[in-house]
Amino acid sequence: MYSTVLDVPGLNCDALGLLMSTLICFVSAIVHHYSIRYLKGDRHYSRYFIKLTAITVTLVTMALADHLLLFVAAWFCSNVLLVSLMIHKSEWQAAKNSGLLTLKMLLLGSVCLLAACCLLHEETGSWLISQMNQLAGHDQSPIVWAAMVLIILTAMLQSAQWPFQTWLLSSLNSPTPVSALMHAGLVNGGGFLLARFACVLTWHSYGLNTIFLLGAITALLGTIWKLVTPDVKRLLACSTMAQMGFMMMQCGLGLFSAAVAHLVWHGLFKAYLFLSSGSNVQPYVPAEQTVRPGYMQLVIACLCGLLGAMSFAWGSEKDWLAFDTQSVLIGFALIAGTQLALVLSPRRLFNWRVVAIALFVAGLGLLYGSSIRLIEWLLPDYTTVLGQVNALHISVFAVFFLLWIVWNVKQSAYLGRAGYVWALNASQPHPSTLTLRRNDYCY
Amino acid sequence: MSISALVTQAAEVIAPVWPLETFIACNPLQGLESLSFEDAITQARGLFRNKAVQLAAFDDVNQATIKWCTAFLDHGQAALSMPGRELGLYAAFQRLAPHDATLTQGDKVKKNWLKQLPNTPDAAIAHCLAEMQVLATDQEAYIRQSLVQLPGWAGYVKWRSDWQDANGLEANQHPLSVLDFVALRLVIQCVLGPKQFIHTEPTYHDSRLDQINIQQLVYREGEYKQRLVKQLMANEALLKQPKPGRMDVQMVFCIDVRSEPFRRCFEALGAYETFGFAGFFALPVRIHPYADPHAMDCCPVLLKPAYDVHCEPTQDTPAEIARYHAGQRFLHHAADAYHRLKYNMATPFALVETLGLWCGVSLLLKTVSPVWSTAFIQGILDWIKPPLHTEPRLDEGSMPLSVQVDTAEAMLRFMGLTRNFAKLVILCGHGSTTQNNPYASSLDCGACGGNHGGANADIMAVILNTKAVRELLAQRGLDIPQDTVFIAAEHNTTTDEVVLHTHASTQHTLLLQRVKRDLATAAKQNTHWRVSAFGSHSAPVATQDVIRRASDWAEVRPEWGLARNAAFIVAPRALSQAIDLDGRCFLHSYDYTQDEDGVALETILTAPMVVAQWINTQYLFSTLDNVAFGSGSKITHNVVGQFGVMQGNGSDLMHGLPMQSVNRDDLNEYHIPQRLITVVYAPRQRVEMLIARHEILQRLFYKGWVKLVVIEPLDSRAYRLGRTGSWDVIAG
Repeated sequence: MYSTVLDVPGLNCDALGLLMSTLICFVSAIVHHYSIRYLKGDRHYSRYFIKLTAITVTLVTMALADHLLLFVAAWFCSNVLLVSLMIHKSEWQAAKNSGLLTLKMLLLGSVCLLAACCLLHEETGSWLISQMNQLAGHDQSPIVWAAMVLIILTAMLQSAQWPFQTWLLSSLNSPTPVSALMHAGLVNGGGFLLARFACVLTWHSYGLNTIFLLGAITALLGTIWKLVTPDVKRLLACSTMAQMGFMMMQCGLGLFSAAVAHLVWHGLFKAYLFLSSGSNVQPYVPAEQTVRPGYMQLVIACLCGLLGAMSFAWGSEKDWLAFDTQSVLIGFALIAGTQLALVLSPRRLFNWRVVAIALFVAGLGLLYGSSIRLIEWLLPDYTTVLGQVNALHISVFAVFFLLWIVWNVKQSAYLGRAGYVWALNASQPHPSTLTLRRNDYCY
Repeated sequence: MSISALVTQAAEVIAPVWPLETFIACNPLQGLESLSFEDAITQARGLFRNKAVQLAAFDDVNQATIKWCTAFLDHGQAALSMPGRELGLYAAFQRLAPHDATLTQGDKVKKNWLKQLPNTPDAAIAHCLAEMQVLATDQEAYIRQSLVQLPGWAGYVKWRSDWQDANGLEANQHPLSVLDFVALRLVIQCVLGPKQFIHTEPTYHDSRLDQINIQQLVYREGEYKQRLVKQLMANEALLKQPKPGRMDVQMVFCIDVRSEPFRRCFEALGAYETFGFAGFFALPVRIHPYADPHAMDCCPVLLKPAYDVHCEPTQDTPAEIARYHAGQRFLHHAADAYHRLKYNMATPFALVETLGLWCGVSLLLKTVSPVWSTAFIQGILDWIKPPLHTEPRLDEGSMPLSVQVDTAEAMLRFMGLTRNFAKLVILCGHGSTTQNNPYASSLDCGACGGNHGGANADIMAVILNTKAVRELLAQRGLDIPQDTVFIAAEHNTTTDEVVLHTHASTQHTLLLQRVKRDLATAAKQNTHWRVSAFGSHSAPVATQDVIRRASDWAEVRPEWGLARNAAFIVAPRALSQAIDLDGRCFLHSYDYTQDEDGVALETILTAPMVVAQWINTQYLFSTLDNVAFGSGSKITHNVVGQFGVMQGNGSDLMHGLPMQSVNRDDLNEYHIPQRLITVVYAPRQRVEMLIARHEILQRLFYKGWVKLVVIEPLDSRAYRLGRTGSWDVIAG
């Protein structure tokens, strides 16, 4: 199933592994370089860099591991190193608490993963991930069932899926570059894990549907919480949570290569935003009143959005009329394209700008499609397990669509008072990870 | 006592905290300035560093306060803002509180209690005090105890209620007072918190606010004062020599400590004379940049801007202006589209996947060459929106002619520039360039309210180049020669580059060329000296190093700012010109012979010196105790609501300077903590008269916040002012 590029015992340098390794090394190099100046004068300077390098090595090992135990070991080590990087100054109790909270969650994940790997070994008799495709013959085996559940659980813990999101929302006591590495690297572990063990998940449709549903819930919650969050780093954490949910949805649709594409592009995006999070100081600006668009404007925006979605489908070589699971992604592209056209569309219609906007949206759609296609092209063996759109997919998409419509129509009173307070409370970090007494802070 | 008087009194110990976009240095112990320095330290330690004051019992209350304050005070980070913000903090909270499960905890009684809260903050405070049965004698202490739990948030609320322009947009749209804040806290305390006033014995956190450190401080100050006065006295005789004739160039710099080393380098290169004056050039203005809805209050916060000055393009063609507007619209649409896609349902997923690749490219560029990538991005922006040459428009509507003349006269007289005008008089403001730095404005001009000073220089240059103004000045005895040209400039304190705004000037081209060359040389020399404070570098590397610091997004120490500030010297430049003051002194030019009535000195001591004292105390306390009075380490800063910084997941609003601005590393200081020493070259009698007239001067000098040394021109002796008002001869 995997095309082996390099042959090293215990490792499987396939396309997915190499792609992940490239991403990890790239982000890690950026973070290393950034930290040289950013942490200058820190009393744990060298210790920090040793850990940073070590975590890079363990992550690359994990990405390339073929032996199940090596995989679990690398998974475990990278998480422990992450926690240790997060704590950085252990005298600061809040940072220590967020580290411990993370450790609890991720250790649980590691244990689940170990158990899953042992079960898979039990079933297949092999320790190699590359030989797990033999599972196709093991119908209805309770052992594979259990392994599947455990893998899904591990992925959810690692990628901070609802209801396990608190550790991610409480992780901002970490130094900024550690957050960047975490949001571009380690939280993506869940998506990577699912892609690695795609053969286990596709073994039963329940698995995929469960992931899809939980991912959708996470994506929804993360998106809503992000809207009410006033501090930049937690806002980014809520956004990561939502994006990870979307990645899970893609996995749940059987579109593993699309999920990997999302993981890569989101990772770079989020690393950039974290590293530049000091730029978010602005003078007070009153919120702009959004002008309700006219009907013609709406129609034109929808047409532009459709054009964008079509060029996205064309760029990513998807069949947009097939109504397979890829249509869900095309649907999201359609919403985004329409929204973009709506923002840009002029008050006066039918002037040159309409044409320009249509071309612009189509161009972006094409660009978007090609960037997805690029990753899919790099992962030839992952071309997705295409199923048909089912009722669950349609209902989840409908919920997103409706919420999008409502947001555009009634932005100011979107959640109401009770809903606002709920979102504000639900997105708070764990109380023990806040520095509630100034004197407890320590650098 | 009325509730509002009670709250005002209880909140006295809280110092205001400015938002980051106009970061103003301020004494964190401002509320204790009526006490002597030593007593204030002891008090501060008891209030802000006391384990028995910041109690675990308040944790839940603090958590809820932080949550509601961040939600209410947000400048626009959250796409969905707190419902009912337009009603004010308390009123909005009152409407939301019954829905807050962390407050009601599923308890019907509590929910009903929250539903039936009084409608005004005053009534709510009275209601809560009664509910918790706080004795009348304990009430003030009780409210104070609640306020000092989160001094940063309380301080920001205090700024919003006492200092922010009351007609400003934010104040109008989201009204807020300290009463609101106290009402919010007391309501939460009624539900979650400690219900009684907690009397406990003080136990202190480790802090350098103790007597041993104060003794060291006093010793260090004494030593420094001795050396400084000795050096100054050695030059005192120079002041009595006749002045040389007409100089080629006179250049006016801000009093900022960073001007001094640059001035020294520049003066050595030709017949150049320099002056020090507060960098807002005496202009209490609000400046509206061209086609920008955001106006800047470019004057010290002690003043309120009295005049609105609009900048307008003067030399650009209509086509260029149209292009500028088109570019601005394009950028606006792009930013709008990004925000609408990012803060929305269902759309951020596609946005992220589309932008990922470009973020990767950007990450790479910023890593490989921060300088190049910053220049590249600026280049693209300038291509889309080519910058215009704007000039301030002055007319009767913005600033009447009589005011222009008065302001210009005041500025020239205050610094003693009344005759011998050079051909070129350069008015030089200053500003900094840093990337990704929430504290960027702390490095800008404090006299310009935390903005760049170039715009003020522009206005003053326009005023002084106006024929009508010169005629009126001549009537008042200020005869500016016809061939004298005033030019505005801006000194970039991060890179030491000085940009002259010469597009309006066609005279003295040769001289101008020479000045530009010498300014570049001075920049190189000064950079070389400054960079040695970061580590040793040779000259060409030094220039590259500062440019890198100005463009690097990972840089936490772009420049040292006003670190190591120690003294405020009010005297003609000749007194200090021959001395290497090491970039530690504020220099205000002043000639007592041209200030018979003492008005100039009065202004200098009550305005620029007070600002210098704010800066000095901020550096002092941020260095002595960065946890209580500083912002902590930059590496875990979390910008909140686009106006402030919290540590990590959430904390008190951090105020004061970040650790990296005052420390070389985690453990070693760069700033040398010591109180301001003011040196005045003027008759003692005049100074005495001013002190008697101004309560603030008595407070600062007699309570030990500022040390005063007067160099008496009549007998050429230096006198130190004691705490009791006596004078001791210390040199001469």
